[in-house]
Amino acid sequence: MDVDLIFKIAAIGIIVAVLNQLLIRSGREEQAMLTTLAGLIVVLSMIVSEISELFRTVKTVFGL
Amino acid sequence: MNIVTIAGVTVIAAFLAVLIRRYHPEYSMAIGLITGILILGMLIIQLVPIFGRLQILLNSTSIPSEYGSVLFKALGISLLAQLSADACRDAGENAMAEKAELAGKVFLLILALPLFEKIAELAVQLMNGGETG
Repeated sequence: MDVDLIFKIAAIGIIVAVLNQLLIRSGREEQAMLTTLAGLIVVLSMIVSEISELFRTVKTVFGL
Repeated sequence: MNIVTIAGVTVIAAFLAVLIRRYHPEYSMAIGLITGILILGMLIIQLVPIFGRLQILLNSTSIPSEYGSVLFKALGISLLAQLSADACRDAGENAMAEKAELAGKVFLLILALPLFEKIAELAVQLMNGGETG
């Protein structure tokens, strides 16, 4: 359980926003959408592993 | 992890979420969810010794030990239902949040039903004892 994950997700969000603006201004809407999708998938995979860890902790501690 | 760290982390995470919401609302939801998960995980790890103490206290009374475990299970179900409902509500999905809370209530009812049955049995026994005596 480390706090760096919050900053990582925020950094990915900012980078994806900047890339999105850059690619839309240069007229590559498809690549901009693909960038957004890739960033979202990376963030979701990070979140899903944390969620599974939390669920495992809750199950062991509360005896569910 | 102490209270100062958790307070600072929540304020910084809220700032980042508001910063990103203008460009990508989905990342804002991700930050809220991951902050909630991290803080809940830290708190549960802190709670483990308290649970051991409570278990010892419950064992020293004449209450059966399965009542204590029902109590802890109810706490875990409530925490999980609250986490998912809050995440849905932050994302603006009030209907799904209500469904998550309803699911939590249903599973709490399933958990507590044997205790209700025991109370009903006790009440029936008392009434029969009153009639015969």
